[in-house]
Amino acid sequence: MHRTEASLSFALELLGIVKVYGTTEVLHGVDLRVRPGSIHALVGANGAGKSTLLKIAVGATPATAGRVIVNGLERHFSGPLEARRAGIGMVFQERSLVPDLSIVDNIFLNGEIRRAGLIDGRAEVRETQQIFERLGVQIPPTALVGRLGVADQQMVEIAKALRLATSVLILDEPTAALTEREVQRLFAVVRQIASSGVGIVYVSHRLAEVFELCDEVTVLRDGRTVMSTPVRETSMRDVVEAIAGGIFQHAHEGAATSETQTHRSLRSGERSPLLEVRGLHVGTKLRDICFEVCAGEIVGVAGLAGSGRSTLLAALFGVIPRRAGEIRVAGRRVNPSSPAEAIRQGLYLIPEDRKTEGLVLSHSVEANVVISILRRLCLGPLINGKRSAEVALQTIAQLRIQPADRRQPVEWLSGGNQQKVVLGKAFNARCRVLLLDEPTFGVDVRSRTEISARVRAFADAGNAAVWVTSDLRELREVADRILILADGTLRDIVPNWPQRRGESEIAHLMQPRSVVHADPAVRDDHG
Amino acid sequence: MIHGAKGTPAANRMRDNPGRSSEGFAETASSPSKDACTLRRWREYARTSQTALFSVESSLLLILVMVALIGVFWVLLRDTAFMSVGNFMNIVKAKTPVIVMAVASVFVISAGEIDLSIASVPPVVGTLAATLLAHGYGMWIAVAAALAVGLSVGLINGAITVLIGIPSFIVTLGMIGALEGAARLISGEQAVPITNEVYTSNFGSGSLGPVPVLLAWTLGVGVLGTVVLRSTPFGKAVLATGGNEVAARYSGVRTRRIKVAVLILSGLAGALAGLLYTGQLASGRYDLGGGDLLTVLAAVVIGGTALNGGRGSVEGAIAGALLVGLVSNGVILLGFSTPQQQIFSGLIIVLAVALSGRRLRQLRSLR
Repeated sequence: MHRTEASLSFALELLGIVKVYGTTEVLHGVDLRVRPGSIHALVGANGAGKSTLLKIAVGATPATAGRVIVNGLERHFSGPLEARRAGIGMVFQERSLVPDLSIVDNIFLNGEIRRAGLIDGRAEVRETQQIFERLGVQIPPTALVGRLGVADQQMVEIAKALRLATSVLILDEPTAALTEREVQRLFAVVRQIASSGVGIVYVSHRLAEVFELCDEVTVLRDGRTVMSTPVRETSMRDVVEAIAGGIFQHAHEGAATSETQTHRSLRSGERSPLLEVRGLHVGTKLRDICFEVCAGEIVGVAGLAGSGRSTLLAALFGVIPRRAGEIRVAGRRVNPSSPAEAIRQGLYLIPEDRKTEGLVLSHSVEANVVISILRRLCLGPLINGKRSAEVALQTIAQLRIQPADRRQPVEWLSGGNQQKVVLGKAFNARCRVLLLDEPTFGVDVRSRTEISARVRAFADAGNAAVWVTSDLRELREVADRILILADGTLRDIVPNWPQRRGESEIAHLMQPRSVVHADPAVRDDHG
Repeated sequence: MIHGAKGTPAANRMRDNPGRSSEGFAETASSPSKDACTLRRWREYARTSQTALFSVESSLLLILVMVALIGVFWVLLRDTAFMSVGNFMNIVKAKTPVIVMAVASVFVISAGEIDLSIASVPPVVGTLAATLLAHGYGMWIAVAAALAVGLSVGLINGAITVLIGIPSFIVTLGMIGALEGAARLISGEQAVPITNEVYTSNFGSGSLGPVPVLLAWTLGVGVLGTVVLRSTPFGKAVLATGGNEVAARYSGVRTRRIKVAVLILSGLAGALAGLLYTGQLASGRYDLGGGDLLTVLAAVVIGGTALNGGRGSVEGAIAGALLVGLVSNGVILLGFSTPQQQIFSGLIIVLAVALSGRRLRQLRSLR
């Protein structure tokens, strides 16, 4: 442990980090230098080595070679606790809060302030309030975490990490579950933290955020640092290219063809509506929704959390009961009261949370992709294993699922590949109308492009898709028309081509008019 | 080594970096180390030899444990009839009702539910069948009544679990009490002797050609259970429901029906176990198969079925039941008293569960 002159200007330095698992080298000498008070973006496709690098930074796993320097002091963490003591805090993508405990109890879990052996609750509340004040957050510190909305939970998570993160705070995809407005609030908090001299490592798949928020950006690809530069000295295009390597060219071509196809299909005029929704009412969450989706069309649904966007899909899929309304698929009236019925009638939902709703994580890729078509695989009463394997291999090949092993449990796959498995399940079920709820959530750039290309191809084959997302830029890319949902009502349906309304106009329409939304506990789930 | 790939270093590597595993293999292949090559071949073998669609726990370890146990008992019991076909047949015969219940329990537990009342069905069914036979009704009437009872119990368990949403753990716990009371009521707390020879032959002492009928029942139920769990839409739906109920439902699996179905299956298995007990003993008693619940659950868990659902092995459960039978048989022959024998069996069961399946793999991956 010796201080070197050059190192003093960095809060965290990871130099020449090499990580070998067994015989596989996953990091081949990665460098990451984070200045105190700066927000440093760490980006890269899934599998580029981001998680491994972060694990090393927080002491969860040791580096095989390389140096970890915190505030000029070289460290050799033997566990997460030492990293925390050195002032490195991390907010994980998966929430680590206990819903049944209060905010204070969560923040001080395993680090309680004690007086005479007992927990000093008042001191804890005081300190929590101080942290919240510093963050500019107004949440009562004694509230139960389970009662909070996603965004507020995120704040608690940050507060928890911040209590110990005196040097470096790592944020792993903190905006993944947030709406546009909540993202802005988070940005303000992050900037606030940085201005107090903490170095921030900001991991995100959303490049627009990187350019809006961050000072510097480091790009990893295949376990190597391929770019590290101040954000103002680079462009989105360069970063995308650095992330994707050779893939970018290909993806771009795909987007171009899909655009011409959109042109073509729109010009061809009279098309039959594949999905018709008339006067749909769902509890108090949706009122009088009417729209149709034609064959060959992808209709985007733009809506904030709480707008009823997930409720809409859940109602169409028979997950939650409808109060009134008519649904037609290919002209035939359907009234699904369960997902099983909805699937039989040609609908298929790609749920918001693939891990808890879309996949049986412990089961193999094969088991997952055939689950909706078991009867079709049967010879007599028994499933034909050969046919099942064939379907699985076809699905893997078509969607380029990596690794291409049908026996692999899906829990070992990356987010993007897991989503491809869910998509494969839907395609195998031969659905006509695909209902997608935030399908690119937590998915890397490469898989994202592939997923939208697959859905486009699906639509081009005479099917239809309804694509829900809070990411307007994504809708711009994938949707033929955009349906704007706010406060459970349909505000407008706008064609995406030619562009009639600007993004800001759509974003404005998405804002709820009532003030009812102020309750943070209101979430857009269909429980 | 034969267990799936999970937990092995290779698998961990893959988990951490799924896209790059092939490169890892290439590196191994290029190294001249012969050991590495052999190891790799073993891993490949372990992966390809998994015939089941779902990564079902291999029973290899269980078989090894059994062989080891037989070896120990063989040495200890050289002067007795332990190492004889007759003795092993006795173990199978004695455990047939437990095996039947264990097979059904694999389905229930794989679907993420549990039926604690399964071992309380045999006393009711047994005393009812014996009473009917004693009143001069034929075998088929007794069998039909028995199955009707099993079906009703399963249906009630299932309906309350699914419609009211009370966990099956609680529902079936309550059912135990109701069934125990019913068995005492029917029998008047007296043993009811059975003289119907067709009945005792079919469910106990008879044989199918050279095969004792109880062994035939074991084989039949075992094969049927294995095939249904592994190779039918129902079996896959059961595993999916237990693995992730919401995902299964969103995939078109009618999860509520599946839950009711497995609980009915469990009730029916309890009824069959009751018939097999009474056939064997030629009498119906309200205390038939006392302590079977633990044995059944132990057999299922030893066999590698995940208690939280999604993973099940019928063969494993049968092997587990036989393991338990082997232990109590050996311990009896060693001359331990019944209380000592109970303590010993309990310890062995916990040990076997600790050593089997996931636990062992976790231990291995921690190393």
